[in-house]
Amino acid sequence: MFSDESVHIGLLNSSLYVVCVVPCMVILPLILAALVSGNSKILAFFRASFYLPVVVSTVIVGLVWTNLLSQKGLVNALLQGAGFIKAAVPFLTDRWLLLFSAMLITVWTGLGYYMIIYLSALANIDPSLYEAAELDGAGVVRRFLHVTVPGVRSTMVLIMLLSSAAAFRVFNEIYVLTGGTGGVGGKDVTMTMLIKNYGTGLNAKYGYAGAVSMLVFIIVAVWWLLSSSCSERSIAMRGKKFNKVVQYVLLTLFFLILIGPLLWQLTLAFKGKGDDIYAIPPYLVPKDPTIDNFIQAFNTIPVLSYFKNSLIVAAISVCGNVIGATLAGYSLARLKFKGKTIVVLLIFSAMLIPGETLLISQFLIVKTVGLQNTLLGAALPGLCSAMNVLLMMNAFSGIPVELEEAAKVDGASIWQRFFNVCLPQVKGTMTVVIIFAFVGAWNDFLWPLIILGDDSVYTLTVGLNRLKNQFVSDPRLIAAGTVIALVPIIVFFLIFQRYFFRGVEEGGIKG
Amino acid sequence: MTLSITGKKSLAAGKAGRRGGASHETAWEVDDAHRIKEGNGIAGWLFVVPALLIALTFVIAPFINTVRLSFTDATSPIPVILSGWNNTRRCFRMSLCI
Repeated sequence: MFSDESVHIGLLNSSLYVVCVVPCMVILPLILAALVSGNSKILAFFRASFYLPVVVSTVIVGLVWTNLLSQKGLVNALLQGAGFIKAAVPFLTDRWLLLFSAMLITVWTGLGYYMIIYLSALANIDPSLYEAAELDGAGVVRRFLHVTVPGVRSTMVLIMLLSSAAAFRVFNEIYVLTGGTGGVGGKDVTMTMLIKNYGTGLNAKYGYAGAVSMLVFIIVAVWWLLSSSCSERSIAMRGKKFNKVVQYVLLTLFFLILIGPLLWQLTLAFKGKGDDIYAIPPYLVPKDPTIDNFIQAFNTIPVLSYFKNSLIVAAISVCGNVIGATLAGYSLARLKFKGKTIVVLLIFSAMLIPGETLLISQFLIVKTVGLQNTLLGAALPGLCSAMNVLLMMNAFSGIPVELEEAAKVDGASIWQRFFNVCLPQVKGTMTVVIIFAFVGAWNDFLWPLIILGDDSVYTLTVGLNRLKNQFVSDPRLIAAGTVIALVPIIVFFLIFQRYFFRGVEEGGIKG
Repeated sequence: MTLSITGKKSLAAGKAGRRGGASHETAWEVDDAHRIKEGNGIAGWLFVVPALLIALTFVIAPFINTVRLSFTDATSPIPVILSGWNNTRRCFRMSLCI
C-alpha cells in the first residue's frame, strides 16, 4: 500500500472526487436553498432537517452508509425489491463503486452546509427584482435563472472553490468505508490518507509526508487561482413549469434522501432478534422492539467515557473560539493600531492553507510539547479558527458607531465599550461561532485519530469507529452506537438552530 | 459572498476628505466608523494576541515547517538529512505518470 504508485492513485482518486462532487455541490444546494427560502414554519422545518446531516460526524455518517450500502443493506434490498437488480451490487468492495459511494456520502453531508451559504446570499437579493420580473411575466423558473442565479453568482464561485478544496482533501468518508485500508489493494486511497499514512506510525517518513502535503497545497492553490480567474462565466439552466405542489414534492424527496438514512438507522437500533433486518422489501417500524442493542453497545465499548472526552474537547474548542474570535474580531473591526495589516494577513492566510498540509507539522509540535494522547492536544489546532474571527469581525463592523461613541463620551473605557456596548449586539453571530466550534470539534475525526493513541482518551468519533470492527456481524449494534453518538449533537443543534439560522442571516455571512 | 475586512473605500474617502478641504465634512460622514479607530495601540494588540498566537503556532509555523520537512529525509521530528528536491521530484514524477 505504501508503494510509490500510491501517490498517483491518490492523485487520481482525489481529482476524480473533485470532478464528480463539485458540480453537485454547486447546483443542488442552490436548488435546495431556493426551495426552502421563505418564512413559513414548514419551510423552517425543512431547513433545519436538511442541515441535520451537516452536524452529524462523517464517521457516524460513514457507519450509517456502510450499513445501507452493504451486500444485504437497505439500498440493495430496495433495488432488489423493485426488481432493478438480481444480485446485490458490491458498493463497498468494488474499487470504483466504493469511490462513488464515498462521493455520495460527501454530497449527502455537504448539501445542508452549502444550502445555508446560499440562503444567506439569497437574503441579499433585492425583492423588487423578483417583483419586476413577475410583472414582466416571468415564471418561477425564469425568475430563478435570471434573478436568483445572477444574484448568487459570486457565492457559486465561492462554493465551487470551497467544495473543490474540500473534495480534493477528502479523508473521513474513504477511511471509514474502507476501514482505513484504502480499499482493496489500496486502490481507493486519497492524498490526505497518504499524508496520514506516511506521516504517522512507527515507520513515519516526515520528509516524504511533508512533500506530499506541499503537493496538495500547490494543487489546491493553483486550482483556486485558476477557478477565480474563470469566475465570470455564466451558468445557464433549464426547467419545466414550477409551482407550489412541485416545490413540496421536491422538498419531500430531498427530505427522504437526507433524513431517510438517519431514520432507518434509528429504527434499526430498536429492532430485536425477531426482526428480519434483511427483509425484501424492507420495513421501517420494528416488529420486535428492544433496547438490548443499546445496552450491549454500552457494555462492549466505553461510550460514556468517549462521550465525556468529546465533550471536553468540544468545550475547550468552544471557549477558545468564542474568546479568541470575539476579541480579535472586535480589535480588527473597531480599533486602530500599528501592524494591524500584518495581523490581518497572518490570521487570514490561515484560511487559505489546507489543514491537511499542516497535519504532520502540527502533530510534531503537539508531540514535542508532550501533549500527544491528551484531550488538550486534540483541541489545540482548532482553538481559534480564522473563519470565526472573520465572522465576528463582520458582525462587529455592522454595529452603528454612534453607540460606541456615546459610551466613549460617557467615559467608558475600551473594555467597558467592548463588554457592555458591542458584545450584546453580536450575540447571534456568537451563537453561530459556538455551533461551528462545537460541531467541528465534536465531529472531528482525522486529527484525534492521529493524536490520540490511547483508548482512555478516545473521542466519540474515534471510539465509535471501533464499533464497525467489533460489531461487523450485527448492524443493529452499529446502529445503536451511532444513535448514541447522534442524539447529543442533534439535541444541541435543535436547541440552537433558531439562533443559528438567525445569526447566519443577520450578518454572519454576507452574500 | 463578500466578507468585508475593513471599510477601505470609506477610509480612502476620509483621507481624501481631509486633503480636499471642502469635501472634508461629507467624507467624514461617509466614513463615520473611522472616527472611533484612534489611539488603541496596546489594547488593539492585547485583543488580538490569543487569535494571533494560535494562528502563528498552529498554522504559520507548521506551514513553514512542512516546507522545510519536504526538503529532508526526516523520519524523526528532528530532520538531519537534507534531500533537496528529491521528495518533491518523486511526487511530481509519479503524478505525471497518470
